[in-house]
Amino acid sequence: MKLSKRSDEFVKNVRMYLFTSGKNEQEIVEVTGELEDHLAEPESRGKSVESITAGSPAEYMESLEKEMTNDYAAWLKYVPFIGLFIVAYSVMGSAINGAFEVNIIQLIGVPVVAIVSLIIYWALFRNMAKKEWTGKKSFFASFFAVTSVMLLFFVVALSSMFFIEPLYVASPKMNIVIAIICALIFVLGAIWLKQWIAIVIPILLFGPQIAFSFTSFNDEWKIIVSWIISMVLIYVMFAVHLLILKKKESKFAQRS
Amino acid sequence: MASSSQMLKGVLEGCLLAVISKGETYGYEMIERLGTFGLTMVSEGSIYPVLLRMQKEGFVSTAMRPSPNGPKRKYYWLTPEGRAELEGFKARWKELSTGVDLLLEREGEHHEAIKEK
Repeated sequence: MKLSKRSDEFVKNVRMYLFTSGKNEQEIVEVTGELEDHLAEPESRGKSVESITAGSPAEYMESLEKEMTNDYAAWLKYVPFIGLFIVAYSVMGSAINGAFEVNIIQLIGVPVVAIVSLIIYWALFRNMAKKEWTGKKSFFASFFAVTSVMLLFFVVALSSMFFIEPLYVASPKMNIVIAIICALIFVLGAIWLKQWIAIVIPILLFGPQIAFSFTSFNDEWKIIVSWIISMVLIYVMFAVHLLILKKKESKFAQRS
Repeated sequence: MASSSQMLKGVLEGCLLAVISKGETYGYEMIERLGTFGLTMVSEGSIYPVLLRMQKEGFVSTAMRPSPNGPKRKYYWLTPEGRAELEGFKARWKELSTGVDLLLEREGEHHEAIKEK
C-alpha cells in the first residue's frame, strides 16, 4: 500500500531528524518502518499523521529521540569522505589557475571553515526535518546556508592568495595532476551519493574559472568575475532543481 | 477522553506488557487490542517511544518480517525479564487501584454523611 504524500513526508522528516541526532542506523530503520506500517493501516480508515503525533510532530520526534541509542561512530565513516570532498573543493580552483600552493592561512582556515560549514548544514537539515518546513522555506534556508558556506571558502581562498607567502608552490605539471585528482573525487562522490548535483555543482563552480583562465584579465578580476558567474549559475541550477521537484510532485498528486 | 488518555500514558508500559504477553504482535495490532478494552489514546504514536524503551530494558525481543502492507513489520514478544516486569506491574497496579478505589468510596461516604447532617 502506498502512503499519502503527507505521511511519506512525515516519515522522511523523522528519518532525517534521527539521523542528525546521531542515532543507531538499525534503530532508525526499525522505527521508521514501524511508523510506515502504522500509517499504511489507519489511513485507509481516514486517519493520518495527526493520530501519531497528536498535532506536534516536533515533540513526537523528540520523544523518539530520547529513547534511542546514540551511535556517533556511524557518522565517523563519512568523515574521511567529507574531508576529501572539502579539500578537493578548496584546491580545485587554484590548481585550474595553475596557482596551487600551500600556505598557513589555508592550513588553518580550510579545516576551521569546513567544521563551521558542517555545523551550518547540520543545523539546516535538522531544522528542516523537525519543523517540517515547506518547499519554499527549505529553499530559502538552503539558499542562505549554501551562500554563507561559499562566502566563507571564498574569503579563505582570497585572503590566502594575496596576503601571505606560500610554504609550497606547485609546478605547472603538478597543477594539472591535482586538478585531475580533484575531478576524480567529484565524479566518485557523485556516484557514491547517487546525486547528479554533486557533479553539476563543481562544474558550475570551476567551469567559469577554466574559461576565464584563457582570457587576459588580471588575476583579481578573473577570480571575482568568475566567482560571481558561478554563484549566479548555481542559484539558477537550484531554481531549476526546485522546478523539477515541483513538477514531479504535481504529477504524483495527479496520479494519487 | 483527553484526560483518560493522559492517565493511560502513565501505565502504558504495563498495558503493553500485558498485550504482548498474549502472544507475538506488532505496533498497530497493540493499539487495536488496547482499543477493544476501551483504552484509547489521543496520540497512537506514543506507544512507539515506549516500545523502544522496553526493548532497551530487555523486556521484549523483536524481529522484522515482511507484512501484507508492503514495508517490513516489527514483531514483539516478551522475554523472561518482561514476564517478571509484568508480574511486578500487576502487583503494583492492584495496590494502587485498591487504594484509589478505597479513597474514592470513602470520599463518597464522607459526602453522604455531610448531606445527612
